[in-house]
Amino acid sequence: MGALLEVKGLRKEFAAGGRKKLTAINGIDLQICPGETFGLIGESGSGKSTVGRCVLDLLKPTDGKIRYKGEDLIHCDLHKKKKLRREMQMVFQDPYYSLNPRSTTWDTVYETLRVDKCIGQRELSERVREVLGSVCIKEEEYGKYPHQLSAGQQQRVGIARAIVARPNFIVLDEPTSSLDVSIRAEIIGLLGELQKEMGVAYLFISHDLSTIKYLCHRVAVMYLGSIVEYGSVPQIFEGHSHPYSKALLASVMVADPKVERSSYKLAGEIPSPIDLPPGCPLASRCPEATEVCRKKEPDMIQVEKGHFVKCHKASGWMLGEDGEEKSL
Amino acid sequence: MGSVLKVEELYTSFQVKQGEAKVVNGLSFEVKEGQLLGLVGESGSGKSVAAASIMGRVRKPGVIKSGRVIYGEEVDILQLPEDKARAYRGKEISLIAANARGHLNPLLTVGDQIVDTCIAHGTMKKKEARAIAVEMLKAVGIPDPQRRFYSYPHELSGGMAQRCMIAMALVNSPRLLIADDATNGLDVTVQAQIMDLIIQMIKTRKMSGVFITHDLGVVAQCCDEIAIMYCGQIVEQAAVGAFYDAPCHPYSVDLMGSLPEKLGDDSQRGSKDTLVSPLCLPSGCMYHPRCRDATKLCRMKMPELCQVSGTHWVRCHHAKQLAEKGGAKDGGIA
Repeated sequence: MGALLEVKGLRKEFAAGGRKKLTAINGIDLQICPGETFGLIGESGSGKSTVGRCVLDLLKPTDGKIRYKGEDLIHCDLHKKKKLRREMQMVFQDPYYSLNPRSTTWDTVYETLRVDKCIGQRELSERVREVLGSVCIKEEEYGKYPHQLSAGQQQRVGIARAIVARPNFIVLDEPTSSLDVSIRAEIIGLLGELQKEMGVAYLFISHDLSTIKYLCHRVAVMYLGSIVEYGSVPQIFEGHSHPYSKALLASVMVADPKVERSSYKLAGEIPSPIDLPPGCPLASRCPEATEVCRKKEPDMIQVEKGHFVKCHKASGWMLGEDGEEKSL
Repeated sequence: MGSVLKVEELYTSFQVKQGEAKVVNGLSFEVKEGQLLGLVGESGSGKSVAAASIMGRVRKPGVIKSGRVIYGEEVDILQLPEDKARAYRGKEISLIAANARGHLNPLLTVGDQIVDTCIAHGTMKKKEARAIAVEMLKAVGIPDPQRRFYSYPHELSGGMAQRCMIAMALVNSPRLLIADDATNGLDVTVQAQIMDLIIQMIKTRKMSGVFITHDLGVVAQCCDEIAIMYCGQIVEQAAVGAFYDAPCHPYSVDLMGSLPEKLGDDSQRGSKDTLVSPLCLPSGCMYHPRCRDATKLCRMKMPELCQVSGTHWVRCHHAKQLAEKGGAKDGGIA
């Protein structure tokens, strides 16, 4: 299966005053297949939202390649870019602030389709009605403004706006993090159904691990601008081996008092992304860090089929049970 | 086991333009000595207002209509004049609020704020208080406390600011700690650190605690008892083990069913509508507009909290049947 979206060596730097540079993304590669949900997890400040913005060309990357259906998305002419981006949409974190306060539910969704200029007036209205129906927005809500809707409804309008032009790829930037548990369940269910119906691919950005586990096929763990581990959901959630993934998963509080939390912990907090130190980004917090980790950045190593880890110790894990000791 | 805090029939409402918003409606609960109670509810269910009422932080247009907040054996804090009540608030009962950076004074160093808290409730000299503050900052795991004493809140990260908040809350060795969404807005790894810190502090100092949260995971991992709030009332209260095995109230069942890890087994559950407005509360049982099992009785009459087993209390007309059903289901699985 060819990749729908291919990202190679993506870097994004921001000027941070003077000669300082803030490295938000430090060279990442990823591939998203059609109809797949790819999860991106990490703490705030790890650069996951910046990745989402870069792949939609909302931010211009400093370096790297983004290919959508084999076509270069960054270096193509405007006409083509417009055509390509029609197939890519985004759902934002805060449903209220991402909707125009002066336009009604109907207008918000209608406008998206109207600028597309690909279908006629009559079909247009029909299509909007159909999409709003599929996200369970009732007819009496069509004329309401965002502030008159509940948070769940607002997010559903946001989703309707994203799917109305029948995209093949949607970036979901923490679509459920500002919602209550019961509404969150509703939105997650809706997203799953829409994918089944339309075969759309998602890039799901979140720090909510249980949602990711439920919804995604493959997951990448990000830390300080780098992907430190990626693989399928079982590979990451059960067979994770990077120290950061271990700590991240150990910190999840499971809603079952019988499940014991693992005591694997990292010291301190995520360091500043301004002027990144050499070596492994996690070296300052990792309980297993050695001299090598502080000096040399590790390479991405495949530990099993489709499961990659960026850690100096990963090569040791492949050797077997006691390989960890040998590799030191 | 004596009780540390007893809240009885607390009613708090806000007089706004559209009318009276009844946020807390007859809230009653009890925190026993050495116990950790998790108070769970969605946003808008009145959990934070309940905490504010206990701490006397309800400001206009909010009014505490009636109710009792009994500290220890017989002191009703709500009846005391402001200066007397202050002896309890901040000294015996302290609060850790969400969004620590927003609650710290931006114009004072964190050290000075801890010193002030210390002096306000004791007869201490400034010098002693300073030594205690540094000691406290060290105890909550702040690296280089001597230097951090002179930091302003904006110079600290979210996790650090929350640690300072905890230091400030604990400096007077209170008997009860109320954590109002203390880890909201923090990252998962930092959240785990802060939670572990709070629990370690509570256990080593033999305090009691109330954790106000919407995260059922936090309660499952940290608390002894759980109380579910809906529309300013407790709808279910039980020991954590019993609750997670078999939640009884329809709202609790819906809440548990909407956790992502539970979605796989039964996606039909999960609440339909959102919270009702506190401006026009429904008649009868507050949950009946959203409840799947509502009957005529539910629309007419407000149910009382009734006991379904030893420590398990449910506010529902059909609690007995639900408990039996839940028990039967458990038996079936076992």
